Amino acid sequence: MLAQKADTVKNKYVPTAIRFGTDLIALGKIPLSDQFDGWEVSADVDFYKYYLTVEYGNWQKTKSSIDQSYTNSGNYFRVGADVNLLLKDPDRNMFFVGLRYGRSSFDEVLTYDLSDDVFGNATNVRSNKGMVSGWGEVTVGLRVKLWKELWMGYTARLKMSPSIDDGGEFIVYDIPGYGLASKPTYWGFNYQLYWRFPVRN
Amino acid sequence: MRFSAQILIFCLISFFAGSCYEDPECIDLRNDLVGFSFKKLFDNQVDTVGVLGITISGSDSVFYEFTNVVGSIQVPLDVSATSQSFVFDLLNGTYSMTMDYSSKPQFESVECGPRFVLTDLNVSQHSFDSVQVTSSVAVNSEGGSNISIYRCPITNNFKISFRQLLADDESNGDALTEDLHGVRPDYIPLIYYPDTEATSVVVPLNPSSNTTSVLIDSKESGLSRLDITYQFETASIFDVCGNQDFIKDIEVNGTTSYDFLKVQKDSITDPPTTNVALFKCPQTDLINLQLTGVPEEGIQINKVTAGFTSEVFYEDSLTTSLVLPLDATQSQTDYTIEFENGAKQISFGYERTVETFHEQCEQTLFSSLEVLSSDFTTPPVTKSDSIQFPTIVNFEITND
Repeated sequence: MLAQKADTVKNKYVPTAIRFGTDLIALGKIPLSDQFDGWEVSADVDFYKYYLTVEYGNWQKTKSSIDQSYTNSGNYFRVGADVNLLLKDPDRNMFFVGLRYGRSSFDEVLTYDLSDDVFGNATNVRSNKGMVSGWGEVTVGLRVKLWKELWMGYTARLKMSPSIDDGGEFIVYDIPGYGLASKPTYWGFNYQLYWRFPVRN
Repeated sequence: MRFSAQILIFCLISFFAGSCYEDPECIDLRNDLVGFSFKKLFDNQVDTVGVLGITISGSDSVFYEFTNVVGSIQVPLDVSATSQSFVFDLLNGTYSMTMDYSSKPQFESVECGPRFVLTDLNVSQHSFDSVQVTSSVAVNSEGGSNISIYRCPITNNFKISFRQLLADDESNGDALTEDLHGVRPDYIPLIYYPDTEATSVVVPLNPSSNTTSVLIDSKESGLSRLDITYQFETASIFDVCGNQDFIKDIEVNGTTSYDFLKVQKDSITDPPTTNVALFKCPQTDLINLQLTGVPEEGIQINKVTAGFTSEVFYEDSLTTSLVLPLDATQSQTDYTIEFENGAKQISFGYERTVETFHEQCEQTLFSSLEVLSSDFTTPPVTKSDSIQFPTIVNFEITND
């Protein structure tokens, strides 16, 4: 009896499935905005009520006017864990809180026209090549079973404390996966669609 | 699912709240200025510097042209460069400085344009006596300083103060403002303080000689000549300044239009402290007559004469009061006051005593003033029957 109970406890930490998904907001922004291109995919695997989560994405932003233009491009990943607070749901629907560590590597280019009464006018191009930033996140969200193994979910994330790479030619403006580098905290939101691949019952 | 719906709404609100962060506020301040403070090595205090002009590499602009600088000044840095040269054309010479720095644009938004963050300011070359980087981050137009520019002590600036003594025990009296034609040391063809009002003057002593004569030409007090003798002592107080000749054992003689002079400090300091004070004794012989019933701007006086002197007072003047000298040799003084409508005479009687102030000023004091005779219809009104310095009204006179 005791051995059977021990096996049950041990078995509940064995993953039941792995889910792969994508962020629909990032994909939806592409046709709606001429300033953003990007995508994000994610995967999680359950260990009882704990979920190991990995997210990977790409982000390109462009902002321009007559006098200046800014572009960035880079990849990022987040790794972390969620805790499911709805343990008794028969469909394994989730309401979760979690933590993430995010890391981004990216390039930036700033072109600007300078009008100066003292030093005259000039056009300058400055580049930030191979920038790296890291940050932390607190997440909260839902995962809901829609049909068979199709799941949808929301993740709201409070990103914070970005490390700013100061080795570039201008001050880092936008960190892919995080947002404005000048903001010590930043909200983010994902609307995700998942397909679940069961590995055991 | 109701619970899930609440969470969904929370998340959506969070999303839209987060989107507000996309619009940063423009920062208008230009942080692309380097601040300089001129200081004295002697006391680390701010120096007053006459600037003829400051020029910078990469621009033909001239900054702070003909300006007396007290405190800090700010000069623009080229945000597109990482090094900039300065030429400081100052009253006491021309100096150069080269500065290295890091300049990084910061993209704010397409509406705001880039601002610049200039850091790592460092002086790579200079011809001043000494400089110190106090802040390596460029300042903005609100002020601030990055570089303190020090100068070695000036060892030959001699300070002369003008003092007016009062009829009291205060040994230094009050500062006396002199309206100067100019002050001229004998060894250089320069006139200091031309057409200037000053309570003190600072002139350089001849660093190549043990004597300097200084001529002070005052519009009110006339010419004074100070013959200054002194000794030199060579010393090195600051390493960057090396050996300097410091002046000591100052003695002053000469002929002055002042009542007496006193050496206050027999060595030179920087900033200068008074080396010699020129004193005027209190004037205790001036009677003050207030003219009442006259317009605010005053009454026309053709002239005033006194019986004991040929001097003419208040010639063609518009005035509301008359301040006139009393005859210290007699117990009576007679005045003739010529108004536009005719002349009137008035005589004053008084008692005299002699007293010495400040060990140097032997003064006649006047008391028990009274009107002995008067042509004025309305009798003069006595306000004070003794002479004070500065003067107070002694009599009120009505010209009716």
